[in-house]
Amino acid sequence: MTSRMYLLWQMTRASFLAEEKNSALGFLWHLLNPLAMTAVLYVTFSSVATPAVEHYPLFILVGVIHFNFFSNATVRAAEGMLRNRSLILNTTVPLELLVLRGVCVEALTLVLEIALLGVLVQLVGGGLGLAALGYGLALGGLLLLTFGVALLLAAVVIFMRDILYVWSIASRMLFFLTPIFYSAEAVRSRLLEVAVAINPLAALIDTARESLLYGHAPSFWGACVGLLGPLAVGVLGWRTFQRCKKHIADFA
Amino acid sequence: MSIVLREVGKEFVRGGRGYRPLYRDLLGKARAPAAAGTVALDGVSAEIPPGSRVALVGGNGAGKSTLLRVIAGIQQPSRGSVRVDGRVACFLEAGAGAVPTLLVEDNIRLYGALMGLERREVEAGIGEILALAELEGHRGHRVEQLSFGMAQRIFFGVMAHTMKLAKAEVYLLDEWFAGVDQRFKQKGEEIMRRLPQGDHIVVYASHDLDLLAHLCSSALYLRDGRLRRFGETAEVLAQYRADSAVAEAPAVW
Repeated sequence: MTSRMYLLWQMTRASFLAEEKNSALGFLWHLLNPLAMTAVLYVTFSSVATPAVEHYPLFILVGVIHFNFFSNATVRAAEGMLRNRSLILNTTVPLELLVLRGVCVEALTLVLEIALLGVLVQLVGGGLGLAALGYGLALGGLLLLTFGVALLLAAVVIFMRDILYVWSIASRMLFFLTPIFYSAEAVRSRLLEVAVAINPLAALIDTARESLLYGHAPSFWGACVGLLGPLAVGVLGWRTFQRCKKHIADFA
Repeated sequence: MSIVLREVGKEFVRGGRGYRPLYRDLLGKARAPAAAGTVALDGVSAEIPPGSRVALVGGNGAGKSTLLRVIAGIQQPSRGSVRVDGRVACFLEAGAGAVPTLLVEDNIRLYGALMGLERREVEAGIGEILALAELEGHRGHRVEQLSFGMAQRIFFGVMAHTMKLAKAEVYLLDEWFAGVDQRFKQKGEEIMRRLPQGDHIVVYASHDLDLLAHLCSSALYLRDGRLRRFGETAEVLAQYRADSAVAEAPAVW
């Protein structure tokens, strides 16, 4: 383990453990939260219309888990730049690692949720055969997309804190523009159809569902959007962060 | 290894647009001009040769911390250039980044990692660090259960361990004995006299002039961001003392 990896692990572990203090259920909240959200969405939307999707509760759960990771990790990484003034000003910690720490803390949660998801998928008779490769691809794309957006937010937030409010609204909108509780096929509006088609998060969640729940390989379009989108965002985020980082300590 | 500063200037652009909400302008609340930028360093030039132990002195706001950050590469100079040969380890705030709600040993790991140590180096040093801090019995306690001085001793231990392993060539320190008792300070001073060995450079910013006089071979005195004097410790400290001599405090106090 290199010293950088060791540092990342220690920072991630410390953040994760620090949040368990004075909490009766500790990390179990990370599992209860998406389950509760899934239950609410399931009860609400299945009482409005009969779901036309197989394994509808798990369909929602896959969407919720991966969307929450994206949303929470980007906010955590950006807030990390605001809350670690002393670390930024007084140590030579690479600032990229501070951003990555936020993503990694949420990734620990994601691992727990995926384990739970794995158990539930087995219960409904889903399998993890070759299609699991598709899930690996989706997960890789999701991590890259999340890190890219996290870098973008972290680069800007020090200079303009309003970005967190903007992002809070934008990610709420993204929740509805991503097929989490509805399927992409059920979309009637042309505008929403286009929004879903070019949304990398939608492509990644769709790929995750197809592989985990239905044993299908990702579609060509889905694979393209799900890989090229995160790659573009990742490069943009990295380059923006590199340009801004030398001024971050001045404004921290 | 050396540090070369050439006409180093640092200005903080604060108070411009972006530091007050728009509505304040619209309501006419911000009629006063935005605060001007702050000049923290102005034309500082110095060459610090290998093996130097440099005392960095100056009043509050003289630019000591900014100079250390600029040397460490944490902040970029606005003007001039900084050249540092060798890896830098900085101890600018004891326990920066530590998590008080975690155990002492977890904080040693975290702080050690922040100082650039690898896993095996930290694990091998935990016992020694606790022994140096005289806190072997507190390994399983949380840092928040310790007093301020006790926590400082732990972080001093990690710093000494980093120096012992020669993880860097240039060490930048800022007020490292704040809060520790006299006995530990003497012990720490003795260790600082031995570490780091060889040609390594140590720059030590402090207001404890006696300590600096014992530890340092040269001194750099900043006043209002400018280099007032750089040279032999005793002379520079004498000038700093002379400049700092003030008339009596106002009678109302």
